[in-house]
Amino acid sequence: MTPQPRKMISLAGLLEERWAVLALVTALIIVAFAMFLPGFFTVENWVALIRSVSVLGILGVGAAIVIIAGGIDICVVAIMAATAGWFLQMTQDGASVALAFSLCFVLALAIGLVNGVLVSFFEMPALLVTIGTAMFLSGLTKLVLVKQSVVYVPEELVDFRFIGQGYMGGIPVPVIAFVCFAVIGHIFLRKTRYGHFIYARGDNPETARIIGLPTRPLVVGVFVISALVALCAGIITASASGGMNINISHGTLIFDVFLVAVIGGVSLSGGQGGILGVAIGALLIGVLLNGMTLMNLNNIYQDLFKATALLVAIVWDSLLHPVDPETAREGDL
Amino acid sequence: MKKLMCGMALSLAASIVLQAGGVAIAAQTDSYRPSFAEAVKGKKVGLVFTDMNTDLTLIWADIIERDLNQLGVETEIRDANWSPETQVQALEAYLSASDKPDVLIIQNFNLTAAASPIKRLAESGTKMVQLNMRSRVDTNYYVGADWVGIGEAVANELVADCSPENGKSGKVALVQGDITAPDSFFQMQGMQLVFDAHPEIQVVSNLGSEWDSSKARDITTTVLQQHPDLCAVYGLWDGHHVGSAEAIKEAGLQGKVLSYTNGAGSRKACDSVSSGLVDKYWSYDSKRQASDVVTAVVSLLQTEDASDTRVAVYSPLTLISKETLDPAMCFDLD
Repeated sequence: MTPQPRKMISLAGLLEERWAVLALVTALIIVAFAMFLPGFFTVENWVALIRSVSVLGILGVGAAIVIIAGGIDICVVAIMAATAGWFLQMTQDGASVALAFSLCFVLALAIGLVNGVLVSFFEMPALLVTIGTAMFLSGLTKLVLVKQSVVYVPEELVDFRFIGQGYMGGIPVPVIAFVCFAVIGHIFLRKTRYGHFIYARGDNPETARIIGLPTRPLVVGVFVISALVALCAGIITASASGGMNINISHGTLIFDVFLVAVIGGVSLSGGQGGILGVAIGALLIGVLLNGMTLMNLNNIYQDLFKATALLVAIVWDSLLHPVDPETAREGDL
Repeated sequence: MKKLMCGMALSLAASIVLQAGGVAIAAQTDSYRPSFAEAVKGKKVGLVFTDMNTDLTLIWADIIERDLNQLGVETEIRDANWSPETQVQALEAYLSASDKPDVLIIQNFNLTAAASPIKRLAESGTKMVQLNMRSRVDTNYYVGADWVGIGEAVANELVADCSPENGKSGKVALVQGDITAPDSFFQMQGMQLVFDAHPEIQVVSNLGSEWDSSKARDITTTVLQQHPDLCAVYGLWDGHHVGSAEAIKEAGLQGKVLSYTNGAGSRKACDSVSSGLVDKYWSYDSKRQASDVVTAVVSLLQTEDASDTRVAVYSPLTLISKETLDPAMCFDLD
């Protein structure tokens, strides 16, 4: 058996890899901020920076898996807010942490299953399905699950705060959680058979089905994964900030999630990108937000920067991965 | 016998005098009652609030509905569900409705979103009360916090607590909700008035959290890294300030970096002061605001033509700190 020649990576080839370009852009911004912003390039600030985007990164991992499979999940922030809010409400009302978490797990699982079944078995557009479930969940949360829009962490839950505020080996727990989700997501997508099936389904759903891949259960699975990731992100957020405002499901966080995934090289056409890009995307957003906070630039400028980055990424994506008229279907993004 | 006759005559006379008085009392009527009863009879009041799931709106609705319903006034709530667009649609619907409410009570998201329908409703003769969060358009009544006054009060406290003259750094951070929201906008006006006269106070960060406690937390964490000698963080709403307070606590700076905020004064306010998460809390007593709104509504219902009525009812402020803390300062929701 002759050894395979080692793949040479040229500079031009690297520039076609979105994550590599993103890493370069991120590095340039870091250098610029380090030169002009006092206090930016310190260990403490970097710990705070990475920590501030860890939840966004975790949500980005879930979103990336769905998008790579050829879908989209608008519902993740609603799941995050609903489950975290309900968890806090139940613990306030005297339920044990284990019971409250179990019920929230069941809720997230149910929403993920509903999304997946509607998209795969009923062949409904993922965008519309997840908008619908997000609105349903938002209404259900306000009417039934919580008593107020802002639900606080009960004083008695001292240990619960460790999830969002604790440190392990000097590293904040949310950062460790982000790294774990990213590594598991990367291994799942790149090293397992199911991960390869997800890429195949996202790249060409019809071909994936014809060659016998279980595309429908696969799609159900990615929506369930996305919902459970959102549950974990919600629990970390609630623990870190001492409460949960369920109205964040009406805010712009969902756009930040897609921003992280898309600028990280995850193509909205499906079948492209990976978790490494998502991690670098989250880092870039963290660097920008941290720098703009240090510069005391208002949210309007922050939103403007983020919106511009998203638009550039989408245009770039459409140039690199134009819609294939042979595989495109009505209702696709 | 003569004495007996004399006594009987006296008691008869006294009885006649008392009975005559009774006739006079019976003849006296409360002249306010008929016109009041006529003014409130069959009337309808609409409540258009930003979100019916906050401590503020729940206590308002609870008291306003209870008191107005007791007077025979019908009430209906339109929940904007944290969406300015939904609120505008609700107000537009009232514009074209055949049975408009006699009085509308509106809590705005920001200064501009609902300004246009409010102006047109006023032109169509609808009487309106703006509650705690006003638009840029004046209506018959404004009942709520004096946001400029709160800004001044907080800024004066920051000057007193953080001035370099008192050995402090003079550095403060402000975490707003939405910069176009009336509470943020007018508080900043009031604070600016004070800070202009006190250049020793340096506002090192003034950013919006979009009402999200996790964003407030991230902002505060970054500012604390950049300015280890920060004196105070003021969150312009208690709902998101909890994130800033947790960031201060996690940094081990509780008691060193002062944590200030304001809000409706629900039980959570007293708990946060008691636990040390918040050092000073300005409460505008939303229970009293609800009672003031009822008074404003009843007054408007008894006013034939209210087109020139412009009345502001500012809520008194209560400063809750460890020194002043009394459980009676905060209310519980049922």
